[in-house]
Amino acid sequence: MLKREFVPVVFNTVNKSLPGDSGVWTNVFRSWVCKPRAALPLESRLPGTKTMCFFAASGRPIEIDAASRSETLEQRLSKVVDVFEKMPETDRKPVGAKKRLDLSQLKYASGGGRYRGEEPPPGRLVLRAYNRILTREANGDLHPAKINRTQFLLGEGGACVEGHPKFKAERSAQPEPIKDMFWLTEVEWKTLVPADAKKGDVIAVPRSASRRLFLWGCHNWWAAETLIRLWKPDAIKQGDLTATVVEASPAGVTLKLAGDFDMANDMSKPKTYRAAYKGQVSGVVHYDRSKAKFTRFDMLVLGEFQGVWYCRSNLDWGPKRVPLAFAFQLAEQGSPADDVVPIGLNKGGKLYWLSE
Amino acid sequence: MCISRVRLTNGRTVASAVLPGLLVWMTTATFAEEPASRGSGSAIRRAAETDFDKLHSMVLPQDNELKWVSLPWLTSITQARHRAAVEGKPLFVFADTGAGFADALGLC
Repeated sequence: MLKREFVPVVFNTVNKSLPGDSGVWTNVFRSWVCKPRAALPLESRLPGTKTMCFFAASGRPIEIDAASRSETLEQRLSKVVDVFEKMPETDRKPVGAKKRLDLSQLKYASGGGRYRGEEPPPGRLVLRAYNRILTREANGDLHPAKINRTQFLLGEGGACVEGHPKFKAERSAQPEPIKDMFWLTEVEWKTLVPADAKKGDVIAVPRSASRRLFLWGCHNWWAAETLIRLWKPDAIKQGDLTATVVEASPAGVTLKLAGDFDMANDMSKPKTYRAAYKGQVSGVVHYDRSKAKFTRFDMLVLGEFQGVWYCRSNLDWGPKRVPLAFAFQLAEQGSPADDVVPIGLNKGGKLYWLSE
Repeated sequence: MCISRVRLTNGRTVASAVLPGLLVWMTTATFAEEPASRGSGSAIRRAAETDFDKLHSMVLPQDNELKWVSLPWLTSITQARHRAAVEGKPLFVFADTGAGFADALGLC
């Protein structure tokens, strides 16, 4: 229904936007903040409070009664449509909003952090990067961990992850993975697929790429949130990543990725603390020479994180080593959800690209 | 919506609600190195090597997860407003009003 009946828009500081967008938010929509009666809370997402807001193109909020919050999402959306259809045409189809747009001006926004809205490097390889906290069973098996929503949001005490004695199982849920993007430059990915590749060749992944993977691709966002930079460039104590050619033909190259790394960071502000992550990298990559593109780029980083966490009162828990995994896969070309600047670039600026 | 601009629907800032506690915690936290649980490092290594497909799939979104990603999001409010006006549809705004690191398109 959302796809069919609505125009979905998300406001994120690392997406593409048009010049003047912020003025529209401020002057037409009177800020992006939802009016309570025009908002529907989304409680299924972790972490943070997510809200759906509904507006007419005029900027007028589409308000439904508060009692509707107990109804199903489908019912609530239907009510929004009903209210919208009764609004005057000046709200639904304001003439001023219909003027032709120059979409060539749609550029990456220069939003938060140090990212200044530079256009991405041409020819880059775009990967999706997901991460999850895992939990280890007694037999060693790994599974996605559950997190206590209330605790996570409010920092009420105890640990975030299941298993802590203080932790009540109620309201615990397996959160969705956190999604980020990861970029390899054209020079970096071309290094992996040399024209003369033959079976058994071991190719060193360019240091710039492996460092970026360790420092920015393996950021524990569950622990540090986006306002904290977890890893400094010198956090890498050891790190190797290679690609071994397991199959090579005129049609393409298949590679196996393998490596490991060890990161530890001593932070001095706001208080000295330490974070550490030891990761194991594995992966399977296939490059199709006839299509001149990767058809598979599956990479996994599996490791143990130790250090601070976003949730507040885990003083007696912080030292615990927690399995934390990152999975990478090819992005979908043309998908708005994948047309997002990696958060590491937004937060790290030029540091994102540094090889040393 | 990122942390620098968070605001709850009732006007109370998340920054004012959460950050002081976060900072208090961070300024009182101590860190003691936990010895690696027996065999955990090698177990991780073994799992990464032998269960690659299973673990890779496990970390990726499952069928019932991150469905928001499949919506045809626009990221410019001007463009979205234009389309809404032309097509006569309401705007659906995904407002990440919390700590802000997992909006509909991922991190911000």
